[in-house]
Amino acid sequence: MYKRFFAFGCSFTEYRWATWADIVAYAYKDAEYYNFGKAGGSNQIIMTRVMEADEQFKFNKDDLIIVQWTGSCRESRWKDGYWGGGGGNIYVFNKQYPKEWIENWTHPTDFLIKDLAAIKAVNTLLRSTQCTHYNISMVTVSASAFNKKSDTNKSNLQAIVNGYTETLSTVRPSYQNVIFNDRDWMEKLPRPLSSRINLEDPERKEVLRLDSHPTPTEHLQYVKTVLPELTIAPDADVIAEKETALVMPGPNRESDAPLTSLFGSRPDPKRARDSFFFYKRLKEVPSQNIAPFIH
Amino acid sequence: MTYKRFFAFGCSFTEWPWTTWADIVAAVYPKAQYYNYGKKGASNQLILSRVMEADSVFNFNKDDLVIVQWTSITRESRFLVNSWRGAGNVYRDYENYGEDFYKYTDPIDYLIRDCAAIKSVHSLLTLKQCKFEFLSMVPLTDPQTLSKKKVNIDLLSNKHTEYLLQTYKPVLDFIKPSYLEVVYKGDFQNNDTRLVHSDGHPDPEQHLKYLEKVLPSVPITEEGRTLVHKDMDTLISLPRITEDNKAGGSSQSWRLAVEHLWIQSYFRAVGTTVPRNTSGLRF
Repeated sequence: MYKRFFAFGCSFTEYRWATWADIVAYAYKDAEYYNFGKAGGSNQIIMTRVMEADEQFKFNKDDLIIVQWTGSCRESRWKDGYWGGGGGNIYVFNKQYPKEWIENWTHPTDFLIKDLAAIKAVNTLLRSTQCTHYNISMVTVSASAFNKKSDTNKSNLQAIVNGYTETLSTVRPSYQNVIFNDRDWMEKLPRPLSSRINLEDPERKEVLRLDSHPTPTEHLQYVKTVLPELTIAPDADVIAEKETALVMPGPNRESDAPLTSLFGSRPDPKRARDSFFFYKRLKEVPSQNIAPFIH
Repeated sequence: MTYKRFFAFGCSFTEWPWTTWADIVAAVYPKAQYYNYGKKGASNQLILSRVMEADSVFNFNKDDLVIVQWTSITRESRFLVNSWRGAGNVYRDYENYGEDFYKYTDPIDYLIRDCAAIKSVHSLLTLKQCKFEFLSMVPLTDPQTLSKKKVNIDLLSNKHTEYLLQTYKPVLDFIKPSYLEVVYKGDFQNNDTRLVHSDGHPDPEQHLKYLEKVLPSVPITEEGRTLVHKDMDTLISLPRITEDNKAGGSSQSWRLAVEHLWIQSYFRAVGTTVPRNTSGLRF
C-alpha cells in the first residue's frame, strides 16, 4: 500500500525499545522504513528534519508520514558536530544552560510561538506532497507551555494557540492524555527500567532507573487508539507483551540483562535493541533504513 | 498585474523609519492593501513565525503579493514577556546579546534552522498560489557575519554547509541576490550613500537601486520614485552628528548612538513615519 514510511519525533519515536514507529513499520513490511526520531529533540529539530528529509527523499503520494510532536520548552541545538541541549523541558531537565541564561533568554511563550509555526510549516509541506500524513503528540500542545514560569500570561498564550486552531486540530490526542490520563507520568505503574548516566557521579556511571517512556504495549495501545486508520499486525499484541516484559523490572528483565545490582551497567543499546522482538523482525526486512542524513 | 493585498516580511531592511524596498513596491500597487511585517533585528526564524501567523490571520491566496526579505543567519529572536528580544548579530552585538550568548551557538545550527525556515515559507506560499518573491540582506553563508574571535569555523568550506546548500539548492536558488552583493559590492564598507552618515541601513536610493536590479519585473512608478527622492532630500538635509552631541555621554557604541540620533533627527524633520500597516499580528 505504501512504498515508504517515514517517522519523525523525539525519544517516543526512536528509543531503546520498540516505539509506535516500529509497530507501524512492522505492519507495513513492504514499505521502506525511515525513522528520524531524535531523543531529546525539540519541535524545531523535528521540523528541520522533515524539511531536510523532503529535500532528500521528495515525499509523494505513496508515502506514509507520521510526525510525533514533542513537548514545548526544549532548547536543542546543533553544536560542534552533534545535537546538544536535548534532555527535554529546559525548565525541568536542563543540564547545559546556566540558570541566569534560562531566565534571561527563554520563555514559554517564545517556545510556543515557534512550535506552532513549526507544526503549521510541516502540515503545509506535507499537504503539498499529497502523502498520507498524521500528526501525533507526546503532550497536549496547548498545555505543554504553561509550566515553570510564573510570569506567563496565560490569556496571551491562549490567544496565540487560538490563532492556530486549524493547525492544532490535525494533531491527534497525546500520549499524555491517552496513556497517562493527564497525570504525572511516573504515577502510571509499573514503569519500565532503563539505564542513564548518573550526572551527579564524578565517574558518570550508569544507573538503572524507572523510565517514563511508554512501553511497547503502551505504544501499541496508543497507535490503536489514535490512529485507527492504520493496520496493526495480527501478532503485534503478543510481540508487544513479550518485549514489554523484557524492559520491566522483574525476573524477565534480569535474565535478559543480567545485573548484579541496580547500579550495574546496562547492555549496549544496540545489543539491547537487537534483542527485542520488533527489531528482530524488522531486521528481516531488507529495506529498513535508519537516519542516513547528517543532521 | 494587480493585487488585492501586498505583504512584506523581513528585518529592519524592510521596516525602518525611512522608505524601504517595501514602501517602493507598495507604491507600485496603490490599490493593494499594504501590510509591512518587517521587524528590526529579526532572525529568519522570527520571519518564519510571522509569515505563518500572517497566513493564519489573513489566509493568503492568489490575489496576494508576498515578498520576504531574508536576513543573516547569525540572529536569535526570542519573545520574552510580550516583546521580541535579541537583535543583530549574536557574534558581534554584545549590547543586545551579552558577552556569553555566543558560547551556546553554532553557525551550522543557524544554517540548519534557517534553510528549513526558508523552505517552509516557500512551501506555504507555493501551496497558497500567491505571487511571491524572496529577497535577502546577505548571502546565508557570508563569512563577514561571523567573528573569527568567537567562531572557529570556516562556513564556506565546511562539510555541513556544503551538504545543506546542496540539499536545499532548489529553494535557496529562488532567493534573489542580496543587498550585500548588489548594493555594497560584497562588503558593507563599500557604501556609496550620499548621506553624511550611514547607520548601517540602506538609504531610500539604495533600496530603489536594489529593487531595480533584483526585481526588474516590478514596474517602479513615479509615485515610488517621488517617495524616494523626497525622503533622500530630508535625510541629506539632516545635520552631521558629532561626538559632542552623542547622547549625553551614554555608554552606547558610536554606531548605535548614530542610529539613535539619526532617527530622532529624521523624525523631527518629517514629523511622522512612512505610513504602513504594521498591526494585525499578535507577536
